[in-house]
Amino acid sequence: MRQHWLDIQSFFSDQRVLAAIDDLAIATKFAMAGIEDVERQQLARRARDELSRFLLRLGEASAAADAGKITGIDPRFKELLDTYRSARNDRSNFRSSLMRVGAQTAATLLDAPDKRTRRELLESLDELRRIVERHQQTDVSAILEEI
Amino acid sequence: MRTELTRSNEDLCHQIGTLQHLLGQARIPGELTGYRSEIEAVCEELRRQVRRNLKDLSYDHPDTFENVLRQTQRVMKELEVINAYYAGPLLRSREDDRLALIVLRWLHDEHPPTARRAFALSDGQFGIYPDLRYPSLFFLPCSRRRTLLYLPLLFHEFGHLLYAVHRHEMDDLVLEFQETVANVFAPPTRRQGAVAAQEDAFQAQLVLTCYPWCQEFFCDAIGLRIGGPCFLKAFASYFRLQGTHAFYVPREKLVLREHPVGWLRIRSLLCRARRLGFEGAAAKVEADWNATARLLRVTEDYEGTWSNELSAPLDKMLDDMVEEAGAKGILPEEAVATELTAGSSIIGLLNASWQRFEQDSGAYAKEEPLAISLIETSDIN
Repeated sequence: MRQHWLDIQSFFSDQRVLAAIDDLAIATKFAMAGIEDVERQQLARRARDELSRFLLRLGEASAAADAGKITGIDPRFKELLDTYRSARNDRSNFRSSLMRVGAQTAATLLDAPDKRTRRELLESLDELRRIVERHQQTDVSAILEEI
Repeated sequence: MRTELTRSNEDLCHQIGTLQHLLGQARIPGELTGYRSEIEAVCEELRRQVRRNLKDLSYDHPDTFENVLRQTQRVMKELEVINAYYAGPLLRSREDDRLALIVLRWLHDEHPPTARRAFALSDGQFGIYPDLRYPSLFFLPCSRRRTLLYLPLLFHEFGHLLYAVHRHEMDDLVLEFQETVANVFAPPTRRQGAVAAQEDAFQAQLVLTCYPWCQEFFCDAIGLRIGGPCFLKAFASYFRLQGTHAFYVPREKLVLREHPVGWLRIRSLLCRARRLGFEGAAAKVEADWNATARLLRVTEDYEGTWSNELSAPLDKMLDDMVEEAGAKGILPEEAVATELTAGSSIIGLLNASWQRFEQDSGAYAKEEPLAISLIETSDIN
């Protein structure tokens, strides 16, 4: 029997997170440039909710892993967790607030009210995207053939 | 870059529009109407994203071009997945698909959480894409969709959808079982050295691998609960012919697989089948399985990836999961059905098919078209 059920679930799950990352990044950059766009602001609110849930899950799983307990999660999410945890240890390539303070604490960054925190947010979103994109590669190559 | 991105998004908009047009024109059976609506809605969502990309580009703010590029790539990737998997069942729909579609519609309707969910059928080995944000896509080999004996394997695939619907509760139960596995395999004393470290890593991986294994065991249990003996027979018959790897997989490979080895699954199924009162079918399947293993010169060996201590906790977990899923149970009269006659239920007909096949496979081949037409033409349930 096919083993794609994990690949496809993981693929769509990562798609949602990646969409939220870019929706929030664009809205933040517009806000910094003084560009007003009501739909963008609505999309940013939805993106914050999505990322908040994701970071909470990542943070909880990471804390559990630190305590030596990694159960109740599927293997694909475990791979994502491993990538995130090794990125946190790779300070020369991952220096954002998200990586410094960890996913659970970084969730408060999502609201970023001023210029300084918005820059921190953009940096964090950029690094989070690198992690999720790297993880999605596995699922994409399992689902879609290269031409 | 802005010009190129604008062009790319305009092309994507055209691609999506073309696909929507094709989907709208497709001649499909009634069972796929809901599926078409949902795939059209997904296309509309992608089109909205493309429009949003074009609007973002209209502000000509270069800082955002990278993000717009990534959003464009995301649309492209999702469109490729739709083109590769989700559109085909509508655009290549065949009248012959109706048998499996009717069985699947019945299956979904019998379970309240899935009654309103759309689905379709695609070519391939038995499988499912059970993401809840998309309609379910079932995979079924072409020849199996026009014959009855292996249709019960769809019940296993349907189990993946039930798991997805009840994910939170299911994950909690799996977590408990993983803790049991960790305890059972924990070394009695703290060990040191490279070999001990390697063994610890192996056991940690085994605990993790239990997650997808539990889902497979659960889906097997669902298949048995819904189909009874016909599922057990279809499952064992399908796996017996898969090759030696259905019976034995070296532990280094097994611990990385998302499916437990077939022999272990058969063992779990036989145990449950006997508890459900299908002793006759269980004894026959067990004898055939063991005879095949002897011919292949394979003995039952999980090489330290399983312990008998886990059988009772596994059964308990599966009982809880099946109850949580609220899967429809087979009726006693369906389990012992022997006649391919009008008025039978789908499950009754599938069980009768196996009975007739085992009595006289040649005669059954001639009777099967009639049984198929009974499912396709009557208000069977």
